[in-house]
This record gives sequence, C-alpha cells and structure tokens, in this order.
Amino acid sequence: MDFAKFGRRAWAGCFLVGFMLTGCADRLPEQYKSSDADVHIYPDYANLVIPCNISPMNFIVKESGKACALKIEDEKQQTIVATAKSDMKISIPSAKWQKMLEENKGKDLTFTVYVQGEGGEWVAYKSFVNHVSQEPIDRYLTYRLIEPSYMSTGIIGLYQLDLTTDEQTCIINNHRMKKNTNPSREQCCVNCHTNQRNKPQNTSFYYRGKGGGLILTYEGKTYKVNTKAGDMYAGTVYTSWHPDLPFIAFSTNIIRQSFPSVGIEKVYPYDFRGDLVLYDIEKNEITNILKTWDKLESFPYWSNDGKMLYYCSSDSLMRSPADLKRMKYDLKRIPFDAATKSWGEPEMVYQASKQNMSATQPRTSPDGKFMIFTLGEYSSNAYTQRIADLYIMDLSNNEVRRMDEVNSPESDCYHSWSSDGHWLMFVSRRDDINYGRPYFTYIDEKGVGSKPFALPHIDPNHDLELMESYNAPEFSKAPVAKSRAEYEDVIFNTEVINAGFGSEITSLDSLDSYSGASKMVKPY
Amino acid sequence: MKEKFDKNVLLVARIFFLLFSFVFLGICNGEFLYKMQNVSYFVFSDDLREEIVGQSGGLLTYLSSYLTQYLYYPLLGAAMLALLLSALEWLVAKLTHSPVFSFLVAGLVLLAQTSVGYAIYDNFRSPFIFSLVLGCLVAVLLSLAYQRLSGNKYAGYVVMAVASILYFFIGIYACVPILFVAVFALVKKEKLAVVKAVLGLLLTFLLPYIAANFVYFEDFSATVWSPVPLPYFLNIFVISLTVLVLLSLCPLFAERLQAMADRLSNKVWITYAAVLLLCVGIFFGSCRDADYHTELKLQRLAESHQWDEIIKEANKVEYPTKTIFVYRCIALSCKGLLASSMFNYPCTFKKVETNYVSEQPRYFEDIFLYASFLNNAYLWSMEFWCTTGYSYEHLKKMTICSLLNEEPTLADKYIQVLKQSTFQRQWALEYEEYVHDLGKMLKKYPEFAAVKSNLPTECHISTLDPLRKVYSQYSFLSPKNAERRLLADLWNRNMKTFLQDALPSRALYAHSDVPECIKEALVICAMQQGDPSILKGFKVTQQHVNLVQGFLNQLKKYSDQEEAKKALAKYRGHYCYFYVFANN
Repeated sequence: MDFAKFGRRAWAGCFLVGFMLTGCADRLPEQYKSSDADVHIYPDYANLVIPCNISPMNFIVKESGKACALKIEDEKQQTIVATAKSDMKISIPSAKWQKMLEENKGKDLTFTVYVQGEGGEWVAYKSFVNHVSQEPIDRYLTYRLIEPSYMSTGIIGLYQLDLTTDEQTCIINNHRMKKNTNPSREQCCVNCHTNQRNKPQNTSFYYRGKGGGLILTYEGKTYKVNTKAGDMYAGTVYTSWHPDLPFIAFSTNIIRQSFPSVGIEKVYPYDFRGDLVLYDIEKNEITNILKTWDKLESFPYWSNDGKMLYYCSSDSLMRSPADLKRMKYDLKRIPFDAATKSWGEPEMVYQASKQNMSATQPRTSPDGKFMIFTLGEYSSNAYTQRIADLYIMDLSNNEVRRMDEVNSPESDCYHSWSSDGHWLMFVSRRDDINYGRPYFTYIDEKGVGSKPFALPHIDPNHDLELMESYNAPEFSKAPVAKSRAEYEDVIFNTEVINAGFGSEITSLDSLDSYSGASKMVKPY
Repeated sequence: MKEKFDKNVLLVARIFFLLFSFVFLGICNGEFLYKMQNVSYFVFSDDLREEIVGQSGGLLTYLSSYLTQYLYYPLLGAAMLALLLSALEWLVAKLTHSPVFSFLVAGLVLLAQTSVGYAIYDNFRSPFIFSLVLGCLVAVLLSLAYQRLSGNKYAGYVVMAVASILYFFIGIYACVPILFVAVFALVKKEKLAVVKAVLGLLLTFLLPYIAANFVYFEDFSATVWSPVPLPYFLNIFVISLTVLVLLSLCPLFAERLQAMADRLSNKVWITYAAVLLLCVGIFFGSCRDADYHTELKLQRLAESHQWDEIIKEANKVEYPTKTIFVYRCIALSCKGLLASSMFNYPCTFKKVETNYVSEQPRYFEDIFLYASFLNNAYLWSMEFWCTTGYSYEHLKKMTICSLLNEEPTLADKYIQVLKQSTFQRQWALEYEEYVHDLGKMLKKYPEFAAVKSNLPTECHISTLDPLRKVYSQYSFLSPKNAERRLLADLWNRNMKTFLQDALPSRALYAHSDVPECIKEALVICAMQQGDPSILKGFKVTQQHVNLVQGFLNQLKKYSDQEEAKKALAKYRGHYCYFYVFANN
C-alpha cells in the first residue's frame, strides 16, 4: 500500500467534499483596474515553453493582497479560472488543465493574474504567454533526495515522480537499515538510479551498506551484484547503460570530501582515484576500459549509437588539499567495438584544462547532434561550485557555447536529455544556493534552450520547504519495473552475486593512460 | 463510612501524585523538557505528515510530535503531562480496581519519561514523551471497553479487531488490549478462552510482521516495538516494555496485589507512605545527573544569549565536564573576558560515561559558530540534522550561520519553515527581520558582530577539526585571532606550539596588557628552555616569575599528585596550576 499516495488522495477527497459542500466556484472579479506591471509569481512560470503533458503549474502570487485569481485563456477564448485566498496559492484544476494543454499543442496560452488589495479593489496585472509544445516530456523523473552537505548518511531515498500528475512514489529508501538497532550509527546509502535508454525497463541503482550491492533489473529479473572485482580498488560509481546492448559502463572512484571554513561553497567533493570499467550483464563480468595511474576518469556516457563512450579525464592527481583547485578535467571519448568488445584509442573532445577550467558530465543528445556538459572551476563534481554552468557542443563542428539562456549565477549541472531530445532537465541551485532543484528547458533544433522552469508541484511551496536536494535526477519513459517490496526482497533476502573479472590483474606500474585496457602495454 | 474514608485517602494520594508529577517534570526536569522540544520537529506540511504517518505507530507519533511543541513552555508541558499521567492512573484503577497497581503503572511511565538522559543527543524519538502516555491511555480505554462488555460473547473479538486496525496507527500499544482480552478470558475461564489466547498471541506477532513487510517496509525487529524506543535505549525500553507487560497481564495479578495492599493499608499512613515511596523511587531512578541538567541549561542560555547567566551557572560547578567548560569559554569570549578568565576555573574535568553519541552533538555547533567558523558550524548542524533527526535546534543554528554567512535566500528558506511551528514562530519572526538587514542583527547581538569580525581569512580545506583545534585553526599572523590561538595552545598544554605562536605575536600586545595566563605560560617556557629572553617584550614582571617559581618549588615537595593538588589549592585559577593538574 502506498501510504503517501493514499494520504494525498484522502486529503484531495476531503478538499473536494468541502468544496462541494460550500458550493464555491472560482470566479473572476467583475470590476478591476488594469496594470502594466509584471506580476511576481513563484515559481516563475511566465513566458515559457511548457510540455503538453505536464502537471498543473501551480504558483504563489508574490504580491500583497488578500485574494487573487488566475485566468488561463487559449486562442479559442476557452478559459480556466483558479482563485486563491490570502495564502495566494493558485491551484489549477488538473483535469481542465490537461484538457487545455492537449487541445493547444503548438499554440499559446495567455495567463492573467488578478490581485485583490487590502481595500477590496482588484488589479489585473500584465498578462504573460506560455507556449505549449508539440512534444511531450518523458513521463517519469527518478532522483535521490538527500541533504546537501553531510558526512554520515541520514534517511535517504530514491523516488519516482510522475510529471503528469505530481505523484511521487518511493523506489527504495534506507529506512530499514537506519531504523534497525542504533539508527544513527548504521551507514547506508541508496543512489544513482539509471535505466537503459532504449529499454527503460532495464534499470540499476545502488544499495550501499551492509549486504548491499548494485541492484540490477534486467529482462524482468532483479539481481544484487557486487561489482567490485579483480584488482579494483573501489566499487563502481557513476553508471551509463549501453543504449541497446547488455553492457554498463561504470566509473570506479574513491571519492572524498573537503570542508572549507569560509565562503558560501561548503563542501568540495573530489576524486582521489578514478577509472572506467565495463560490466557485461549476460556474462556477469567486469573488464577494464581505462585503468590509469597518472589520470583520473569519471562520468562515462554512451553515445546514442553505442559506438563511443564519452567521459571526463584529469591529468592532475589529488595528493594534498592544495591540489584540489588544480584538478582540471577534459572531455574525451573512446571508440567501442561491440562485436569484439574492444576499445580504440581515447581521443580529446574538449580540452577545458587549457582554459584553466574543468569539464564534466558529458551527455550527448539522443539524435547525436549535440553534447551538453558542465563546466566548473575544478574537480569532476561541480555541483557545489557556484560557477558551474551548462555548455553545449555542436558535434558536427565541435563548437562550444555557454547556455546563457538557461544558466544562473548559481550551480547548474546534472543534466538529463528526454528520450526525444526536446527536453533537458538539470539541477540548479538558483533558488537558495544550497539546495538543488530540477529545472526544465525546451531545446530547439539549433540547440537553444527556452527559459527554464522549476518542477511543478500541487503545492507550489513544496520545494521551498523541502529540506533535501534533488540528486542525480534522470528522465524515464517507463515507471520502475519493480515495487519497493520486490526490491527490498532482493536486497535483504538474496545472496549477492559476485561479478567476475575478465581483465588481466596487473600491478600499478604496468598501467598506462594512453591505451585501452584491452591492450594494456607499457609505453616506455 | 469505610468506603468514603478510602475514597478520601485515594483522592489525597491522587492529588499528591498529580502535584509531584507536575513539580518533578516542570521544575526538576524543566530544562530537559525544553530541550526535548528543541530537538523535536513539527510543522504542518504534507511531506512531514506522510513521512511520520508512513511508519509503524505513525499516527500516534504524529500527534505526539505536535504535542511535544508545548514543551516549549516547560510548565505548560509539565501540566499537560501530569494531567495525562493522572488520567492514566485513574483509568488503570478503573480497569484493575487496584489503586496500588495504577500508581505503579503511572509512576513507571513518569520514570521512563524522565530517564532519557544523554540519549537526547542521539537519534531518540522525541515524541516518545507524549506517545508513551497517550499510547497507554488508548490501550487502557480499549481494555476497559472490553471489560465492561465482557458479558457479550463477541466483545473480545470486536476489541481484538478494533485493536488490530488501530495497530497500524498506534503500533505496539494496540497489542496491549489484544493480550488483555486473551489473559482476561483465561483468568475468568470464559468459553473459548484458549481460542482467544491463541488469537491474541498470534496477532501480537502477526501484526508487526504484516506492518514490517507489507505496509511500512521496515525491519521486523524495529517495527515490533514501534513507537517505543528501540532496545538500544535500554533503560527507557525496559521501563516502557514493563508498563506494557503490566497492562497486558493485569487481570492475572492486579486484584491480588490490591488485596495484599488492602490488608496493609488499614492504616492511612501506609497508603501515603506507598505513594511517597513510589515518588522517591521515581526521583532517584530518573536521570539526575547534575552535569547533564547543567549542560542543558547552558545550551538554553546560549540560545537566548544570556552570557552572564552561563558564566554564573558554570562557576557553580566544582568538577565540570568539557561541555560546561566550552560553554563557559563561549560566554567569556562573547563578553570579551576569555583571556582573563579562561583558566580561572576548576581543571579537574569529569568524563561523562554514556553509551550514546560522543561529545560532539553537545557543543560542536556552538563552539564553531562563536569561533567564527561558520561553515563548520553549519556543517555540524546539518550533520546532526541528518543523523540524529530533524530538529528546531539545528534549523535555528543553520539559519544563524546562513544569515552571518550572508546567504539571505537560504536563511529565508529555513525561517519560512520555522514560521510554521506553533512556538518557534516567534524566533522565526524576529530573525526574518534580519534577512535583509544583517546590521540590525549585529547591532542587537554584539556577539554575532564579533563572530562576523573574526571570520578567518584563510580557507582551510580540511576535514573537520576536533574541538581542541578549533581556535588553533586561526592563523597567528592574523592579529585579531592570534590571542584565541594562543589560548588554544594553553588549553592543549602544548608549550612548544605556544612558544612558536607567542613570539611572533609580541606586536599584538604592544599597546595592551598581556593576559595573566599568557605571562605565566611564558615564564614556564622560559624556565623549561632556560632562556629568559623569551619574556622580552611581554611586560612580564618579577612578580610573575616569583609566582611560577614558588608554585614549582612547592610542587617538588610532593610525589603524590592528589596531595599536591590539595596543598597547592591557593594557586587555583593560575595557569601554572592548570598546566600541571588539568586532566583534559
């Protein structure tokens, strides 16, 4: 039983009954003065391109007054009216909203906000127009909710949100581990829910801690896999499923955190070690992709055709805290031959270190035309850096452009393309510097984004009051394949399967950074 | 006549118990109640409601979380709790016809409530204070309903069914009436008593199993007790469980117990003596650790910026804990008296024996905040927020750090959340004024102005520092912070580091007096090194040299440290005494 859903429905039911009993109907004021001023609303949902299947974009009117009203009008003069009392929270009726979006694909909707002042007079603010896209957004968003800065883990969970209804369901959380015996001492983490681009029912996430592992759902079955194999110094971390084949590229990292005493940035995560490995699901075997002693690799991402693996790589190693700001990552890629499961020579895609910057999280668009990445000052984990911004590369000519139309003065990163490549979701800290929130933008054929908008919620205050960050969110076309109970059953009642290691176990001295691990040769 | 006499005796005993509960909770445990409220968290938000109600015993926990807010005013909270305890005693007496038994049950609940102790700093469920008494009340009411309807052959099954449904809202407390029905049926030798007994036992295990595996997805061992604190909090767990066992099995022995008491209580004084004995037992059985209560008081005083009161309270303590010492240092620092008075304090520190978390949650947030390490203070607040549970206390600290770190949007986020609470709203409204007017805050609280003016200029990229290094993190090249660094060296009794820091700091004291403790420490260094030139430029007089020399000469006479400590008591408050005898 999903109590959260049940609770929401119960409240909605109570509200509906109350509404019917009072017999109130949303009405616009008959007399009002018009104003040329822009209305202040939170979240800022004015002048956007909006998905034709998004849940109602409720907002708070940030003007002083004792009541407010909203009129949404389409080109055929059909309207939706929503009103609010002194809390100024506009709640758009869901069914009418969905119907209006469906009927107005590719057209504009005009929004007019009316505010009643303390004296009872109404003012109609300047209308704004939102364009309804032809293209729907992927229905589901999966993410982790976690406090933004920590050393030990508290209660954390992976969730799935239905973007068309704002219904959140828990995929898995660490309650069971944390509530056992002494709750504050058990360290347990869940993270990195990802799925296969063209077969979204194949998914994976980590349940870390005692008895944990990679929780892999493949072809309808779920397994618990220990992906630390052979001479790997750490388990696998960042995940990228091959778009079609039963392969997952992982980075294997030793991640550390530093805590500066002054300044607004409060935590600096960095990699102490980083390499890339490939997991063959059907053979249950890990092989090295790149194992280097003089470089750090991270954030692998497959191109849409699965013939190229993009990643970020740094020549600087972290030996002391002073090295942190010297860690600059470049973007590279390495060709992959699926027939022989072998790798070509790594090639440079974008040398950020030349500009004294650090590029990370490369993600190509589904049509293969563009690649979006994050550019920060240092390290591969740019999300705590205020300077971190999204950049787009046109892969036909390798031209790079900062996406000023979507970036903010605060950190913008952790982006994810929708399956049709028209929508981009990213995590921004623009609201309060510390807490990451999902933002969405429509990407046109030239790779230009529309004005980004925050994740809509039934309660527009939801994310303002949420004390956790959205971490590593990903789009998904399909809901998670298994229920929480089924995942818990696998985690707690099945034995972990140890992955085999298909590469040669080598000493550190014999590793090099210039060749693929499948042909590990000492270069001198 | 006898019955009326008994009623009057009982009434007096009940009034006595009510008053005792109120005074014991409100006066003796007032600081504890306030702290309990401060480490709790309740706002009217859908997410929080769903999170709490989505756990076993969730509804009871949710209601108790709401009521815990009322502990903000300890006397009001104590009155509410005392009334609930008296109601429980009265209902149990109705159920068992045994006032002795009912006082015992209510007394044990009161004992559990006041035995939390240092677990308050751990991931302890603060709503427990109310949930225990409320859960017992619901359980007793259901048992009472069954007892009144026991003539009906279906009553037992109906009560079991109602309790089974209630299980998903109040957790383990619903098992009490289920077992009560089973035991009552067996004792009264009802028809199908064995069936009821088997059904009762089965439900007691089956309900947590269903809840754990199919409803709340929790570990069975955690769900089975919920919302009673886990066995990890042993004393509270044992007392709470004893109460539940007593209530479940009361048909077995409550009447016999009363019969025994009746034989004895023909004399009024025996009844009064029994209640008095119970109260004395509660008093001595509860957490009476004076340091613990002092620490809670100091934390509350620090929150309300009452620095003089902190110094006064701390000075009353003969054998301080490190936490008390730290809060005194914070208060001295806020009053600008740190250098002159830091070591004028007992130096025999008491180590607190506790199974729970280390000393960190007791003062780390405050020491880092008032030492101007805002990010570290914020980080510790966030850390405890994550690991020991959401609380107003951590949220307020994060708000202050954000304001002082000039992050108005972040501070405003926290303030908007705090504004939703019933009583912390006042605090939030005050601090809301400072979101866009930091100057006003600095003007009202000069200690925050000092924090702001002492911000370290260096960005220490390091993992977190333990307490003894907090002040040591200041650069000695930064004059405004140099003195604190020197004092940290003295606290650490590391004369080598002290000397390294002191010599370049001469300029600091070119136009001001060198604190006495530093002068004495310099003399100790000069004697240790055999180099009087160390004293140059520090205005150290012969009087200081004589003082240290006299102390060291006398010290040589004693081979036993304790003996020396007593004999040299006149040097207490001098750094040389701290240097030799401190056990920090």
